Amino acid sequence: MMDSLRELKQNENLVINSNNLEEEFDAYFDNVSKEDLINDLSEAGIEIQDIEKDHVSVFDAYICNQNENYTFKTHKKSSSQSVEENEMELLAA
Amino acid sequence: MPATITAYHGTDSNNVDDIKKGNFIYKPDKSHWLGNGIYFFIDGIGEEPIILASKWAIAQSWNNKEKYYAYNNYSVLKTEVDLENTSILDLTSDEGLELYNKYRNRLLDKLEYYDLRENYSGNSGFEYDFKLFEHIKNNSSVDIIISHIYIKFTKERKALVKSRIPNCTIISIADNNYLDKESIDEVRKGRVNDG
Repeated sequence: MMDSLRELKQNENLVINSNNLEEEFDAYFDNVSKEDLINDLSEAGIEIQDIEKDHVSVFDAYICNQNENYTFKTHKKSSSQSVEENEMELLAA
Repeated sequence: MPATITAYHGTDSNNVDDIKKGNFIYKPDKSHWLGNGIYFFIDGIGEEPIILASKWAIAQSWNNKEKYYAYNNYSVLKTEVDLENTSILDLTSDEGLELYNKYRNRLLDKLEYYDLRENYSGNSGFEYDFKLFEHIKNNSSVDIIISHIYIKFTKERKALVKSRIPNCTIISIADNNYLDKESIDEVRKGRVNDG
């Protein structure tokens, strides 16, 4: 089943994962200001919060949450967490 | 040699005439795997794409909230996708995955002190992927994305099978100008409750 996809990728007329794409990505991140990046992300639906401004750091929030001295939006976890739950905790804390 | 790929789309049979007349269109939906676009099954991993498109149309016919079939007959449409003169991000290859990860890492490096938690919602937390693909398409020449992916069809939905291991290959096309409207052909139809 993979053969036709592989065959297609050999076609010289196709531009797949091109170096130009890598250059485009680099050019974007090298040149975009933080403010413009936030606007671009917002257009794509990615809303972000400035942790420095509004919250304690991710690491501090995680420690506080573990100590239960800090009321954070994440759910309280039991001592045994699945990998996925733990991933979410670290990401969201 | 023309750079086209044959692609299969499963849908409600009532949509066939409109699609043939007006080409495929998409409705924005944050549960889409690779960002907004028109989705097709193509040759790759798993079963033949025509079978996968059938299974998708059958699975989608069931309205689980209201417990009824939203449509009784499904069709599979085949079309040719013109892949020339566009930029393709192919996540079925190591190079494509490297590019995607580079993009994601550069974004996270730039946003070291920012919080993306609100974007991990819906569709089991994969909404962020959707949004990142939207961001990539908005800020680069990428118009077409190909990826292996895990999709829940009827059996997987009934058995509540979640997985990170892909079971099919799909292509997402942001612009229907890459689709040859004249090539759209109904290649299979059936009743949704026969399978």
